[in-house]
Amino acid sequence: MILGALQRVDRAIGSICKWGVIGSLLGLFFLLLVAVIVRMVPMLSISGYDEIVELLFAWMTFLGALALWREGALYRVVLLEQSVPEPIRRAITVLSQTLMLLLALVMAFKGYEFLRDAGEITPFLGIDKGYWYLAVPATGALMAVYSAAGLWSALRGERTGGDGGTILG
Amino acid sequence: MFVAGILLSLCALILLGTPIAVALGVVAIGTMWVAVGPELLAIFIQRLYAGTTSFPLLAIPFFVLAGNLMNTGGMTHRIFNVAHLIVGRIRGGLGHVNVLASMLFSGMSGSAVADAAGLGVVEIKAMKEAGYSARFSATITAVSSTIGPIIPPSIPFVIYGSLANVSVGALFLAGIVPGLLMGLGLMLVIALIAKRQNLPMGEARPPFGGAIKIVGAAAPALAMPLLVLGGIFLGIVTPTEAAVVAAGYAFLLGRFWYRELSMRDLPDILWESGRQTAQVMFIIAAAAPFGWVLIQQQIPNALLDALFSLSSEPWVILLIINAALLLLGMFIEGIAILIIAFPVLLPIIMKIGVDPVHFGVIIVLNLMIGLVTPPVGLCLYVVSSISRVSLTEISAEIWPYLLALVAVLLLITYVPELSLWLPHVLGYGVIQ
Repeated sequence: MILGALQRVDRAIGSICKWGVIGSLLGLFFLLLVAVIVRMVPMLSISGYDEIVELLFAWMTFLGALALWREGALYRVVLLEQSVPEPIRRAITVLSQTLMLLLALVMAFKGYEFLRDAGEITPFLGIDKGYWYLAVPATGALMAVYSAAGLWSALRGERTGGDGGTILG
Repeated sequence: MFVAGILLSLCALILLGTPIAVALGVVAIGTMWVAVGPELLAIFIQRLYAGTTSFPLLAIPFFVLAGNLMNTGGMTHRIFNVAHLIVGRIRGGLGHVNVLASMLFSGMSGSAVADAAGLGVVEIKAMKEAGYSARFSATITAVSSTIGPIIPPSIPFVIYGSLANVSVGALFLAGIVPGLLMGLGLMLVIALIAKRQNLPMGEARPPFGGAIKIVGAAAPALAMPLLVLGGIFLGIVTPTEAAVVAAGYAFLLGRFWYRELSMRDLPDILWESGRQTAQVMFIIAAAAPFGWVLIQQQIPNALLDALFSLSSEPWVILLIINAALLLLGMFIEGIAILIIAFPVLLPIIMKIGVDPVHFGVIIVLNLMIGLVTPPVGLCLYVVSSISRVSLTEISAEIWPYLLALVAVLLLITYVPELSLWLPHVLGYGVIQ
């Protein structure tokens, strides 16, 4: 029953990441398109345009990174890992998951401190800049949960960490 | 010793399979902690966040989106048909068609992977049907895809421009002649192989009316480079806005002109484009605090001294940089190398007086060669997957083409005018 609930939460996080990324991308698309049109009409201007673009781009990046983290699809070099015996591969996976957990915890805790201490208000929209910075600790906290689970699985000898994703070029 | 420790830790973590973004972040955290203390970690977060806020980098998701929309929206096979019309008749014609189609596609997409994955399917199918071996077809598809990010628009140029604070427009212009040279180099190798292996001649050219029909069908797609590059060079749009226009145009063409793009495809295309963008952007974000650490620890200066103790001749230093980048490209994907190596390389190239625009072309060309060098080359994997030809078979066949690409790289490295002439002529202020 607990496992079923956890799986539902996991799927919900996956959906939030997916639709958050799609929504941010569409939002950026329309904003930039409007910016081009507005530039051609001298009477018009969009106030706070830069601030919304920054908000959407930051959230798109960190939600996308969380999705890749969750799927074990962050880009990595798997050549060595695939060519070593199983006990060494397992040790490498434990190390990798530990380091991922460390980065995620720094993002969560130090990111929260940074958000709390920043105390900035955006110049045009007059909104707390914390909504922008929240992308780091919020996704960092979830990454930490996934890495803790990944580390637990690795310590129990289960295959974890995914095969790594591809990168553009 | 501390400097060597930082760089060796990063290399070791990457080789051990730690995700590149995580390796960069953890090494930056460790260095900050050891050098000053945990209080410096606020800077880590600040740099990590700031790494995602560069306006020029916003071009990345939209060039990715444009490439994905074109691959789904029916543009790729029409571009292939035009290339076939132009060079399809000569011996080994479909090999030449493959290269020319990639050059045309390059003017619309900024990614080698989009070329290999999208156009590659059409190219390999046509070549196999015409009697070419699957191995030959797959190999040419892989090598020709590397032209994509050299001929503008280009995602690696957008990233380099943002890192080096160099005009993306100037970089786009600087890539045109090198991209054409890459195409010619590959066609030369294909011509030699076609003669030696007596490869088939293409079919007779279609009648004039048929030719007009083929060009007419592809014309709206072929107009995209004019729209994107014309918009940038006439100063109507920035490269970021041009990417948005390209994505919008690709959507309109696929949906309403060619009618091959369904609205049901759109969420998956947007999701895939967002994921691919996040893959790159998370590495860029994690590289920002790492770059800060490198500069704080004066690591570029230490490497500069080490390099100058070997030689102070610019041509030797450029040769060493090229060799190092080619070697790295055999194991790590290009964009990751670009982001990691750039803060280290910038002071070196400034010291030896290389124009940053010229160096942008050198580094991106290097990294594109890395996409097709075994054992780790993303375009090799993509083409191997779509052609069902093993990686070993493609790797065995690829060497003559790699030699041609390396020859072009050396030509570009030692004749800066090949890159700088066009930006200079069109008024982009590059250092001569």
